Amino acid sequence: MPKVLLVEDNEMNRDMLSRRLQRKGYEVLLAVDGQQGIDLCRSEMPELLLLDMSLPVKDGWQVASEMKADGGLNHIPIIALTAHAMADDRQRALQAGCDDYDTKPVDLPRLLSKIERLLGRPE
Amino acid sequence: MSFTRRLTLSFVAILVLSLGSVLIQIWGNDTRRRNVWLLQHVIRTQSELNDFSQRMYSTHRKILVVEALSGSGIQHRITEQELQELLSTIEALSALEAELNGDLQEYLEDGRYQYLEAQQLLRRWRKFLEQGDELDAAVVQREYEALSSRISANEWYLLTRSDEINVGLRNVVSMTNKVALGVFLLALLTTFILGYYMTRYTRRSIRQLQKGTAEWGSGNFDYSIGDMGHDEFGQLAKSFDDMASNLREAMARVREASRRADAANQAKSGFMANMSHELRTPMNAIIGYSEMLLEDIEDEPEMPVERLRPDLAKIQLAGKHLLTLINDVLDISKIESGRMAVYWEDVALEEILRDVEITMAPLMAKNGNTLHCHFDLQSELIRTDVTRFRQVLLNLLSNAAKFTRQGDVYLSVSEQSLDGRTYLVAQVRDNGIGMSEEQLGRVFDAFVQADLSTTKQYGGSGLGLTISRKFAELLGGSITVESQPGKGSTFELRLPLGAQELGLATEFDGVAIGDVLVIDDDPAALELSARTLIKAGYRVRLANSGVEGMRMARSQRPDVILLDVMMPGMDGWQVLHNLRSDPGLSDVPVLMLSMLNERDLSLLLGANEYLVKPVDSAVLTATVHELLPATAVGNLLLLEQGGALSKAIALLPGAEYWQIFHCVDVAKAKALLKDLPWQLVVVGPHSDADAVTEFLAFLHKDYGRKVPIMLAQTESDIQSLCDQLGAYLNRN
Repeated sequence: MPKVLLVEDNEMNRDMLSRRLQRKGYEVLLAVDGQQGIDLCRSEMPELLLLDMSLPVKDGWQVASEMKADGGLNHIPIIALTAHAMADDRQRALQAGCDDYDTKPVDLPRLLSKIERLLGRPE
Repeated sequence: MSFTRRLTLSFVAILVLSLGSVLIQIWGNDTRRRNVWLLQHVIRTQSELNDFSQRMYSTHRKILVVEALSGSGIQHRITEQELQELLSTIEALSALEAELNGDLQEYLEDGRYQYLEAQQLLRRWRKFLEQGDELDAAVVQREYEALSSRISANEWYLLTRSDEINVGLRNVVSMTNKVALGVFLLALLTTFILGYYMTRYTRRSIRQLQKGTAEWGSGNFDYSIGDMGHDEFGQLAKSFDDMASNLREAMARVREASRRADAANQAKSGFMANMSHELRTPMNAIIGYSEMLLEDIEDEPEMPVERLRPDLAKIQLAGKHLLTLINDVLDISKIESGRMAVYWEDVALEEILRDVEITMAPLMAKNGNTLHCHFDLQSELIRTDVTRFRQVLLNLLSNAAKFTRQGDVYLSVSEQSLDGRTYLVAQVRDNGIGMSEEQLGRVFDAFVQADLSTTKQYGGSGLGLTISRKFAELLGGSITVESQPGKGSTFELRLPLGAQELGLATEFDGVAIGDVLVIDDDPAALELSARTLIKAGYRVRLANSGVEGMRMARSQRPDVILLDVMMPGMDGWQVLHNLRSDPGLSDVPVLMLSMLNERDLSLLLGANEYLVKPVDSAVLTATVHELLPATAVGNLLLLEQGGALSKAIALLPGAEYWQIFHCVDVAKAKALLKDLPWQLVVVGPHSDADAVTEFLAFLHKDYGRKVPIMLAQTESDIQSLCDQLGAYLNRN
């Protein structure tokens, strides 16, 4: 069962996405802010990180660049999730070190295919 | 010294030199001519003297011979003819002597000549010859010798004189030549020096000017040619500098305007991006939960409905939040485009405040807060837009309730006077968490705290304070905030109550020559303009902010707009821009008023006229009159029997802008038709059908193309006509 970490400060979205991923057979860890997300990555070593960008304490861009600079964490693929849907938001997320990017509202099949691809598994 | 003066001076210098040279030449010529004349006469005198001397000598010899002959006893050996010749010679000598004496006196200086004094000798000779007197030869000889020596002396004097004249003549010629040469050389030198100096100076000045224009041409408007003196070049340089400085200022203003436009644009894009984010967040929840519910139903068709309830509740919550967001965003957009209507009414505010207190009670109780109210209102009725006022108050109070726990919230509302104006001041103070400096700076920005989680906790969209501030500005007021972290926050809403005073604008007797909208934040200026224009016969409406002005302009299109430049919030430039980009208002004449002279800029940006405050009332009236379009007030001719139609028309919105002439008699209507310019003719029910038909034919023939004509004969006709008329009269 692949272990993914979802960092999301919005309670409703956190609840919704985690439940949907669990139904699809993922083990979902939850964090509510950027710092908690990094700490959980260190302690739990998830296989993939789903990262909301507008976060309290430490925002998604900071989290992504810190993770990519850390030799012990930079192997964990990151998918940025954001409600910012402007053209350069994608570019900003990828520049910060995210491996992929998806916008809210989440299209679950599309998000799942991105997760599978990054986990290196056939869909 | 001016350039022209320098040139003139050099010309004068050359002219004086030339004139001097010419004068000296003339003097030289004159002197030479006089000397030559003198020399000629001296020489002639010399030859005459010589002639006199020769003739004296020969006559003397002849006399001596005659005397010798008579002494030897030979009586009169000379003939009568010889005697007469001798006598006439003596006569001629006598005349010549007199002439010579005159010449000597004339051409020689005193003491430098001797009179000839030959008369005695000549007399002796004459006596001897005529009367045969004894002639003493020795005496005659002595006298003759003395005369000869005088002649020789005079000859010598004349010779010396001619030499002197010759020397003088040579000197004059040489001097005039020298002077002429000197003057020529001096003039040449002066011309050369002046020419060189002028050329150098002109070239330098032109280079300086050229450098300036080149600098400005390349866009460096900070360059200044600087002081070049007071001559024409200096003045030209100063004019150039002034031009550059004016250009620089104009450029700065244009740049500032474009910077403001850019900033506004950027703010708008930022708002759009934020809004997109804020709309997507609840949408994410709605779509996500709906999809999950669908999956649930698919997977477990027999699942009890009750288990779906929590997720459905979340969808509902997110949906409501979305609706709040959309409504708030629409409000903001309405306010910003000036389409938000303000409804002024006189209300008993105390009741409304009590109502607010009751409404807030549950929200206050939720966090264990206590609301303390203190109302101090002198006026029974207060003129304001009560809906907006209540909305702002509720907003501020719920904000205070959100960020305070187990604390106190104070609401105090009072009337305050400041600078001769009365304000309605509402203060909301809490002792909650407060705000940092940084938070204070952004507290009125859109979406600062908007977030679904805070929303769930507190409610609202994150646009509440933004909207509150915009409402306050719409009502001509402001909201300010003071806060300290941990100690609480104080919000103050301040609304001017000037609207009642503005009421003077609506006291109007019905016949106006035009409809003027005055937009100015300064109540004194508003009142001054209103008094002047009302006195001149205009119907005047007043707006004390740009937003209010835009709203009023849109709701009742005025004939002329008076616009102040400096206003808080939406300033005159923005109002002008909005007016010019609104298809319905783009051709309304705008007269801008300001303390500064920015006439060129304002005309460039689309104003029709510009006056600098303080404005003379006669100038204001004249300017407005000039800007007034030809058909500012409509004349409506109404022909009907009975008053049904005229009553219905009087009640229509916009009817107060029209001058309505009601006629019952067809002949009178016809006469009126010729007397006044008409914008609309309405024909209602009338018993004399023939006369009406004839009137209509007359109308169609002579006026049909220029004036709209409307007909209403029955009750239902009147109803449908009123519907059409309403739109027409309201001119919107």
